[in-house]
Amino acid sequence: MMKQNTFYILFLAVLQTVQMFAQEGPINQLDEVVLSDVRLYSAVKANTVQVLKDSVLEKNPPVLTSVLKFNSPIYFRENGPGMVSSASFRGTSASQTAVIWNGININSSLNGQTDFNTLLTSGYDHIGIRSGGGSVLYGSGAIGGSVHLNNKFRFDKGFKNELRLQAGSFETFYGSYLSEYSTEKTSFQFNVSHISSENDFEYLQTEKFNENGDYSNTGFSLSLAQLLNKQNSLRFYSNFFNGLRGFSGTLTAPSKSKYEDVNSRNLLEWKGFFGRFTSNLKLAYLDETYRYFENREEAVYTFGRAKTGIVKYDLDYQLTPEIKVSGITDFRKTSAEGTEIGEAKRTTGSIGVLFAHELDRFAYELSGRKEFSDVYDSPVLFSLTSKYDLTENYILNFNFSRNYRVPSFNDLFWTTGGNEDLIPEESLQAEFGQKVAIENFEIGLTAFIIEIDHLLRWVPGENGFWQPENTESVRNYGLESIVNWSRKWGEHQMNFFGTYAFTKSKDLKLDKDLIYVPEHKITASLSHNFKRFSGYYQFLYTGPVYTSTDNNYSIDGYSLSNFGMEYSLLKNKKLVIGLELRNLWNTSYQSMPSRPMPGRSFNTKLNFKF
Amino acid sequence: MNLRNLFPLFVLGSLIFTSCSTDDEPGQPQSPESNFDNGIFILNEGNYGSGNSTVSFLDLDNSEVNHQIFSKENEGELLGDTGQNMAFYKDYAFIVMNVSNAIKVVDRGSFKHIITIEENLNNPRFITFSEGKAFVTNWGDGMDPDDDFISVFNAETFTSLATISVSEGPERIVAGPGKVFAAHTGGFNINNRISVIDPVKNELNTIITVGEQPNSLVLDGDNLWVLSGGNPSYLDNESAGSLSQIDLGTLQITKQITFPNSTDHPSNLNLENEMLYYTLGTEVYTFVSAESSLPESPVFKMDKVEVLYGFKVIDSKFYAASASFDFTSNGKLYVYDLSGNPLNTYGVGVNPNGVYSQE
Repeated sequence: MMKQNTFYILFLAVLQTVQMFAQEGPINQLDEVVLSDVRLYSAVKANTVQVLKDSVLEKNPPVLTSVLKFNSPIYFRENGPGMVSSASFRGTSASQTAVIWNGININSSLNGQTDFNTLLTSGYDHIGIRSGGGSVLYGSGAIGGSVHLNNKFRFDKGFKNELRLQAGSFETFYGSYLSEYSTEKTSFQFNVSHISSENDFEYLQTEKFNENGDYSNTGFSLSLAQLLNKQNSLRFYSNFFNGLRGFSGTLTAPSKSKYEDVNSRNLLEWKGFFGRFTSNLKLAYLDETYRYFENREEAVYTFGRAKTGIVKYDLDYQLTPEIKVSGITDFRKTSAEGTEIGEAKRTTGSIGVLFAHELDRFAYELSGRKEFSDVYDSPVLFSLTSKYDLTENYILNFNFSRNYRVPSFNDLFWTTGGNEDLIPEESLQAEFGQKVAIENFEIGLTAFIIEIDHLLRWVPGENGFWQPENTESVRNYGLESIVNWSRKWGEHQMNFFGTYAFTKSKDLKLDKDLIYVPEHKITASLSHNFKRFSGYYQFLYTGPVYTSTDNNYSIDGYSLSNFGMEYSLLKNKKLVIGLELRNLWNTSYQSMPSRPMPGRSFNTKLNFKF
Repeated sequence: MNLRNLFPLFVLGSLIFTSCSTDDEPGQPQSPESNFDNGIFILNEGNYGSGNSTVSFLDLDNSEVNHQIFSKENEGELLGDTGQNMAFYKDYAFIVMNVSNAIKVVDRGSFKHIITIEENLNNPRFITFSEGKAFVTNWGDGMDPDDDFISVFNAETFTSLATISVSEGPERIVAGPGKVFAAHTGGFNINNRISVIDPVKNELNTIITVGEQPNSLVLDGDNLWVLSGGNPSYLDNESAGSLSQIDLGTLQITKQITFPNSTDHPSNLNLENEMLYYTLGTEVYTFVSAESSLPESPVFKMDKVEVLYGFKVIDSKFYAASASFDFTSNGKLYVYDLSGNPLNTYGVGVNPNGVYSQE
């Protein structure tokens, strides 16, 4: 099996210093998965981290929105398949959700968010979902939670290739080619993938169809690791995305616009182990560009571009077998230009410390961080995470933290309203979780409360132009639950995975619920493998959401189901064909007003490993 | 596979949770005898891209507001996206839907949908009538300064007759004797022109230059009054608004008064009983057309208005339409007498931007 044969540099390296990875976590088999982003699991593993493995990624559409929508408590607002999509954790907003690529925060400097339909899953081996605040570690935006996109390395595995092809309704085509080569000291991975769709589905119960919603997205990713000697290793990650999308019309409006994204990310990492010290230096360069064409037939467009250089250095010191202290620093310089923001620059730096202490049954970590910026003042961030093993099967954890979200370049510098007097949003949050694991069954239940102050919101100003202001406070509270069950007998294997999120989010001044926060979200998936067959059923329920702050208007909730089957033509899943039906019951639903989503559709696939 | 046993669980789950969804869908059919004979229409533009534009009707007989009247009178049909302007011709009401690129024509008495005009419209803004024709200002593509036009339709057969190319950002449009005047705010840019259209020949006749961003215009006997907002605050060369009087015969500017401060950006010029009214922020000012200087102090300030989004003087009353503070919620309509005494407040739809009298 892969597990035994695979050798991960980090795994060994970490074992040398501290037993950091035990098999634990709701659904993650951590022994199979080793991260470059080592801090994803705090030293004491007190955060809920849900990991989507290859097997999950293979079963889902190759775009991150679709994967997370059906497999996590994260709620998405989507302007349609392939269109702009924003994520929200625990009732927070898209810019309060951090996206972390191999340890680097990649939320757009321009709008502070990540469009999850611009992330193709084939560029990553491992996707982690970490609920709760993480700003000390991950910086701005890690208020509701963070999504981690990671690449891992295998060594001494020779040459491996994988081809994935898919074709489905609405002229949707997907192709991905992954190549991997590794020797004892070098590991190399390359992926190229492309997805395109006419996306011209019918609006159910109308005569209309989705106009101008076509897209064509291409991603490249490359990762390279070199073990220099026993102590030192170098890693290089590169990721490129080019997205061309028509922005679709709606029930009541035509559209002829086009949007282009060009994102490139490069990261060089040096890791060293020197006695009790672990040193990690990261140098990153991020370049994001968008171009918006109001009329796709014309060459006229507005654009924005931001270039960010990052230096990040972490040093861990194992004081005793039980105590580890770490210093984390980073320095980030962004320069941006755009039709609407002119030219702007921002420099930030931060210093943080971590103290982790593992006792017999109790473990805790204390950390703090302060950011310095030339544009605004940031609060002192801190976090306490703790874990207590009541029994071997029953674990309690408690976390408390202060997190923040900085104003984006658009907030600060937008020509017709940018406000340079903004200060970061800040939040205080507490969560209490419990986890029970008995044989093949695991259940986790976490209660949380988040209070966010200085919420950034664009409101019409006196002069008639929209401008962002630090406005009122909101309080979010709720419950998150994750259930995982599996059973094996004979040649059968069944797995069930479900999540449930209950979220209340109140604007404290208006005493109204926040818009676009469903009170309930449920996901469930059940899969059954038998010999070379496998079948699965996915279910999603998203509750109604308000679309107006007076809570007068709302979008109905909806339930969706997908059903898929796969068959292995060759041993060890070397050649797999599959068929999937999405929106099995042809449910008519909307994620955003006036924007119907597709009815029943199908998708066929072929995975070939050689 | 043993999935069948789990179906009830999924199905049950979906039923339980969908049944508690709130239902705010517009378009519950209404009693057939509703009529809109005596009252005020309020056009609510809704939110860009959300298709939630509606028309409210304030019935002056019973002082009640009837919401979403288009959907109610037309079997739940949606009005469209971003209603920008509404005007009447004979038995018809024309509603210009900016983002939908369409004009909904309804019977003004029953609000029954007659036809939707879609031809030769691109980013339509405002409409007026002359010589049996409808004249509609269009921005074209917002980013393209050279594709703006005025579209001409037969106002009774609704067929397209012509398009007249004009300079950037034609906005409000009024019809005078033998001439149609379109004021160019500039769309996404700044403009300072009035296009004068010959409604018989469907031709651009001449161009009058006024202050930057002419945002409202009224006819007053032999004169056209134009109120310009000036350059907005986000520009480096922010400038004061101005008021221009234009002789309808010579098309010459006979009077031009510039506001005292570069931060003065007036709008909403109205005329009633030979008095001109305009707003500065949420303050209402009045001006006798014979005078040559502007008043120093307002008649009153509309304190409760959160975001002034539409303003009209009708039958010696001020009707001020106010959007909600963040533009997502229902707005309000405040009514004042000419001295500024509040008379009434009504709830209306999302982002009310215009008030139109049925009379």
